[in-house]
Amino acid sequence: MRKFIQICLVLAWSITLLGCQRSSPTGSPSAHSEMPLPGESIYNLESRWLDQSGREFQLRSLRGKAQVVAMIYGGCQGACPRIIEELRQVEKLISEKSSEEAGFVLVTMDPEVDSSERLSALARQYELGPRWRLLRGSQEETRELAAALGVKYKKISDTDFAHSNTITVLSSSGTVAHQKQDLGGVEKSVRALEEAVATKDLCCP
Amino acid sequence: MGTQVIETLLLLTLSLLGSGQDSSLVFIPGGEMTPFYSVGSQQVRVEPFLLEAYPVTNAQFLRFVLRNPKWRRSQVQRVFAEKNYLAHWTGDLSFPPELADRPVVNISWFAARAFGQSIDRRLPTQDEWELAAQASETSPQGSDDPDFRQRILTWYSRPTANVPIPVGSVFQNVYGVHDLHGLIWEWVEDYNTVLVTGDSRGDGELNRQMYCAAGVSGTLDPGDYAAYMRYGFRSSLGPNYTVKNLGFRCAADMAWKEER
Repeated sequence: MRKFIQICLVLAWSITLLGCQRSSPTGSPSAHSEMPLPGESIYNLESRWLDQSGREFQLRSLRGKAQVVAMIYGGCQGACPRIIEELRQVEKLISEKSSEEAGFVLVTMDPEVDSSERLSALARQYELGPRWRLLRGSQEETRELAAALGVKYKKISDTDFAHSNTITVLSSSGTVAHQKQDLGGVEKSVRALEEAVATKDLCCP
Repeated sequence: MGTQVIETLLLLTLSLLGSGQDSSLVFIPGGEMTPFYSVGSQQVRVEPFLLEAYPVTNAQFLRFVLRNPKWRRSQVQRVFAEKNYLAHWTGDLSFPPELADRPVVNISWFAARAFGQSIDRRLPTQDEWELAAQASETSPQGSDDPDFRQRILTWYSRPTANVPIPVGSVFQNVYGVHDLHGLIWEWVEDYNTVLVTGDSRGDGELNRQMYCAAGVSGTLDPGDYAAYMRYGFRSSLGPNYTVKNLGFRCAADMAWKEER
């Protein structure tokens, strides 16, 4: 019986909370995160990550802002510096207003080598600001996120990977808003990101 | 409450019938192999591993979704499985009884992986699967035997049956693994590994060697057209795709038995 009362109390409490959030006029991030994720959202992945400061990180905490996502590895001499550069270009080219509603995510495909410290050094090297997250997961989780993003990669030597140069724009709820497989044409990502930010304003006032 | 009773009964029935039990694992000795995508005869080393003797059946998968409601047809998120997921089932927890011992198909990579994790197993890697699949009834190197190759190709050239035949009814290879050819296509862990489109230091080579100008002749073994088809098919998949003749079986590391 006591348990039953406890459950009732919890229920009543959650209903009160929900009520508050519905009536909140500002559309705070917490109200946003209470809504169920769309089935197509990549944030349905329950994998756990570490960011460049070594903090535990779940993908769904990216929710609420549009994100530009790419996969790289620290030891990469070829395409990865260009991928990072392209994401930096996007950050520079979007309007100031949109940039507050956008984030940038780099995920290492080489978690064995790319420790949080190495990712942190990479962030410093490229002068990546506070809107950037550099993530590292387990091999399995990395494979899983790559699959969900349509990124193909393969370790081809002790130090190198062959990989696609996929740049993905995610909506504020984690669905794929835009994707391109080749480097160059940065304005497409910029436009997609601006749109993702604008759509968010429409959907979640 | 009512549904819970029904689900418990279903689980009980499944265990009484002995259907839906985990498939036995077979030892695969590993070895050096030359993958189909290999550039310049580069060999890869496959460590010894364990592979399930049969593809996972509908009955086994039913036991999994009973225990893991989020993988039921009506509840699975679209990012994990497209809408034809388990399309051959009649409901969340039902399929025509004759399908119990047929391989489960219409299954996504995410779902296949989740099944494996639920029993402390995993999907085989592409190299592991291909190594095991080289074996014929009599030889680990069956792929060197023109007759064996021809049989595989003949199967590939037949249109897919609407319902796959029961597991264990095609052939058993020299390791004791059944139906690696002739029944269904099977998911592998790193299906998204080759046919990379970008390049890091010109590794777009991978791409060109396999699929462009030279066609099959650019790859190591022009006779192995079946392997060409498998790699091509895998690289066309996405992780939430479901295909009516694509299923899976699980693998495990050698440490698996000692841990138990």
